[in-house]
Amino acid sequence: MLTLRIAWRNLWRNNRRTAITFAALSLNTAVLIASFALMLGMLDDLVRNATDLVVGQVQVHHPKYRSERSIYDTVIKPGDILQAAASAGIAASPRAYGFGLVSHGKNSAGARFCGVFPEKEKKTVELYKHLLAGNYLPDKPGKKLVLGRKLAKTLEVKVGDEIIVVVQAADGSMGNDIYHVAGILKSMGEGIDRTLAMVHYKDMEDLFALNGTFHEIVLNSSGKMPEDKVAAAILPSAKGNEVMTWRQLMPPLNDMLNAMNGMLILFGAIFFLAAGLGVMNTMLMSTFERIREFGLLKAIGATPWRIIKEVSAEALLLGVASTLAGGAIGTFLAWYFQYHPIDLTGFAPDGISAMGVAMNPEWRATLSPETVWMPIVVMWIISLLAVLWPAVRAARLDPVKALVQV
Amino acid sequence: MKTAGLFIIITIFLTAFTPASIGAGAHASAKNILDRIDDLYRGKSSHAKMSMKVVTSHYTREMIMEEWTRGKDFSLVRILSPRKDRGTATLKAGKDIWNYLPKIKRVIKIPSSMMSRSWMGSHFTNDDLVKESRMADDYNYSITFEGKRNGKDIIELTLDPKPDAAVVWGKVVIVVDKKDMLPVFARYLDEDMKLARTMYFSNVKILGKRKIPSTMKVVPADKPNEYTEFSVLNIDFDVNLDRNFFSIRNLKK
Amino acid sequence: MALSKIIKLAWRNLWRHKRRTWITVSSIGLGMAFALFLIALGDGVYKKLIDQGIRLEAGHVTLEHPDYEKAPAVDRYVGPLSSISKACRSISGVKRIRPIIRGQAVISTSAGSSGVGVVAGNPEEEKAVSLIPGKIVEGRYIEKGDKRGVVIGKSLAKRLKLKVGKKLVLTTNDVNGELVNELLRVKGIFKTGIEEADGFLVQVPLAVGRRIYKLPDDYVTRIGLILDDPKDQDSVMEAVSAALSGKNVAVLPWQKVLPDLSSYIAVDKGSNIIFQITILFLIGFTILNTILMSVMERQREFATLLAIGTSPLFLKAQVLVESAFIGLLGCVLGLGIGGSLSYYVEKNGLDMSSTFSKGTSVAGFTIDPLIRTDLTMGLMLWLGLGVFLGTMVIGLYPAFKSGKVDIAQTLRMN
Repeated sequence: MLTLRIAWRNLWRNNRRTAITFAALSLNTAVLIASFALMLGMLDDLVRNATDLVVGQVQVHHPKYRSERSIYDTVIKPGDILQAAASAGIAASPRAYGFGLVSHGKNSAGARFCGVFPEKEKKTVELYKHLLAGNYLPDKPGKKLVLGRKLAKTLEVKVGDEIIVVVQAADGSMGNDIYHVAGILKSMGEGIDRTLAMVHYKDMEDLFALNGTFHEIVLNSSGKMPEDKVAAAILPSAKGNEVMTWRQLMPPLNDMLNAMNGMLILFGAIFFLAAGLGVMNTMLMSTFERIREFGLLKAIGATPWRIIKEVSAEALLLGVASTLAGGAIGTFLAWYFQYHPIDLTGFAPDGISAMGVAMNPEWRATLSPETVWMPIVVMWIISLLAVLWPAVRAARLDPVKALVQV
Repeated sequence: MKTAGLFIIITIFLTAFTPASIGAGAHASAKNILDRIDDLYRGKSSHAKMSMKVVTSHYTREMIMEEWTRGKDFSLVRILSPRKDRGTATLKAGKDIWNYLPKIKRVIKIPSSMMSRSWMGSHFTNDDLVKESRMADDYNYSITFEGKRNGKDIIELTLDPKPDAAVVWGKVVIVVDKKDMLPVFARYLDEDMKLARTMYFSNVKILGKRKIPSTMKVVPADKPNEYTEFSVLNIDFDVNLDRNFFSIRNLKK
Repeated sequence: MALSKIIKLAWRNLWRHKRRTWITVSSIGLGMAFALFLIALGDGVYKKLIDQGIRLEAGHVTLEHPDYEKAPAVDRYVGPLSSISKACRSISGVKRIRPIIRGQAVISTSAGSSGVGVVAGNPEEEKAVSLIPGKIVEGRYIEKGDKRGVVIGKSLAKRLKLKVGKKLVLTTNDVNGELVNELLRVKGIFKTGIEEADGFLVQVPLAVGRRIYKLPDDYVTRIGLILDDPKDQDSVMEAVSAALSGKNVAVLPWQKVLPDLSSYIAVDKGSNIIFQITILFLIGFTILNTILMSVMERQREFATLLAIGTSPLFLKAQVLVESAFIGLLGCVLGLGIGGSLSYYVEKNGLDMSSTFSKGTSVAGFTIDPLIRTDLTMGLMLWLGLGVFLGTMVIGLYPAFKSGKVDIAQTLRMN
């Protein structure tokens, strides 16, 4: 207790030195916390982009659907799966797919129709927020279409235009009808941009004679559970179906995320080194400056142990005080960026996609306990080391020599 | 695209097999037989009524349609039944293909890229339907059997694709009834000499003053319970149709 | 001469306080090394991404028919290739000229059919540029002499039950809109890990592509220019546009041809800039701190010097020169360490495969586990100058302060 009190007093004796060290420690801690939260947020954003925009965390298909893409390979007992998802608190959206021709004026193109229940779809994924023009599908069926960007460009259509659709229905007949463009999606990756035509499931059911069948059920807990848990929650009800997490559905993206993770670890290490260097050098400087003082202490009879004890106590006090301050600032910054994401839209106004997955150009921090305590603890260790080295040297020093050193 | 493909395929099917000349099959060389099969359904122009039945594990579908052709560039197909599709029509004029959809009273143009798409629901591959070339040009052929088989006098022809011919098959075996020199069935094998599908010809009738097998049935080897069957109900060859008949106005009628 | 005396004194003074000098120099040097490495690493990753995107499409600069971009079709071809090549070859910075024909087709086998994209190119050129020749898992890549050779992706092969040596029929519309059928034989099967390529892309030799689509001799749909240094893009584009002016050729940057990749990189660069600014800020702060600290430490020294009659101006100049030396030494150290580290990683790559969960099967696109830095003279110069000037600006404070030390007060302390 006495040591601490002396240390406290000592700290205030040279308040400028203390202030500089304090600033170095707290600022580095704050920057580390904020940067780590941003790095973590970047990874989370990628996962979120991968899952929350279109794909969801988990998808259920008929085991043959993904390779054959046949309209007849429908999800087995979709009702059970939807019920299991609902009771586990997981949002679920059933979808139906089919190929057809869309035509406007002289232009026509092949399209992949996707039928959804808009109100369920909106609760599951955020595609509806990514419109370049117009609106998302209304909740009630009304022969409306939401088109991929490049498909709309090929057809030369704008919102409100009439589109003729011709499809091969499940009963072998030819479904045809007139639809109207409700909205056009932002860039969502080649597959969606060039071929997607989204419609209300009820419209799709009529057009393709689907009889209440689905080809895909998308599940998303929106970050409440990891994808494995989501898969596990519905697995018992999905017998006979193929249940896959987004990591299995999109291995290149999973690999990219892992690579990104590796990159960020490297970045993090560099940041740690840079911040550590800053604190280390500032502390070393401030302690070496005091070597004369230690020599004096020793000359008047202080034991080496007492010097070390005093210096460490000072470092500890300063370390704790400044990392607490830095921690608070850093946590605040991280919290701020979590709710006020950095907007990168300016770099890509039409939306972006990579590896076939659309990205949300907003960069959000993720505040997690590790991002806070890790930098703090590391800073303590660094400041203690930076103080002990010169202190030990001073303690072992011949007092006369120490005094001579300017 | 499936539907468009269907109509196009029928159109091409008939146009591809149309100009006329029936050789008398007295002295049958392999080439004579092949040319005769190629020319069975060909004419300068034609007017036909035909039915198509598609049986798959998911649905069975029957259609009756009427078709007019002129040369290989012009054709018009109109569906007569079922009621749901009645009036739906396809026009092929040169390189352009148009579809008329009575339900929405619209004409749409089918992009030429769609023309080459396979018809997924059917048991016809793109290749054998789109092709306008003659078998004798694409294959090396020989008579591999002549005589009685199952009590029937037949000739068996084996066709090996020429190395550069645009043919997906590894081998085609055609069996012809020696009596009238009309095909009975054709087996299509893949490059590993595994059977891929069989085409049966039956129901020989005199239609349009020609003796032809009026029914063609295709059975895929991997799905023996499925088939697609065309039947010519009646056909007239070399009818008088002028170019203006193949117009969009007529398509909508 | 006063200046040389100042320099000499400053230099000697630095080494009288070896420890302090080294701490400050190392703050600058190591900090700068980290920043250099971090920036070079980021640039390296982008370079790789762009490189791989370009390998799939055409080149850093693409020459095509002015209307090709609006609706890519084989009848919008560009040429004559020989005269365009000749014009481009004389432009410095152009490393390779890569003519390709891109088209759509349906390929059929006895097992089924599938729509595909067709890329026809010069096999030798493609081997140097394209991603696919290096990803052949069965058979071999196409050769110039292959009259009917084609390489297809693994998933396509699986769907259509194709093996090396087997045939397929390619059906498409030629430039006149006529339907053409062409028999091709599978020479090799590739696996890139990109489903768009593995499932829907086939490659044939340029001559085969020209025959199929009936393009006139010496015409292609795209001419890609691969550059020695992507940074020369603007100047090369200007030179190419000038050389081809009057011809009916659109000169496009890769950003136009690959808008997805371009915007992705733009956004990712945005976040990277934030990291770079942060680390530069940390380093600047460390330099500021160490220099501030050393000023305080030296209060007594300054007071003594002033007390024995050194002129304040002389002292200020001396301290400023010391800062300059420190900045210079820090830069040399930083560029030395950071430069050699970056150079090493650029030459040998940094193996990140340990960070992949699955380790071995890494898809071909962005995720080569070997990442490389991209170190440029410009970056080193820019960073070196920035850090040196920064140190000098920070050094103004102690210099200014040194001449104004309160002698009596300071000497009384301690």
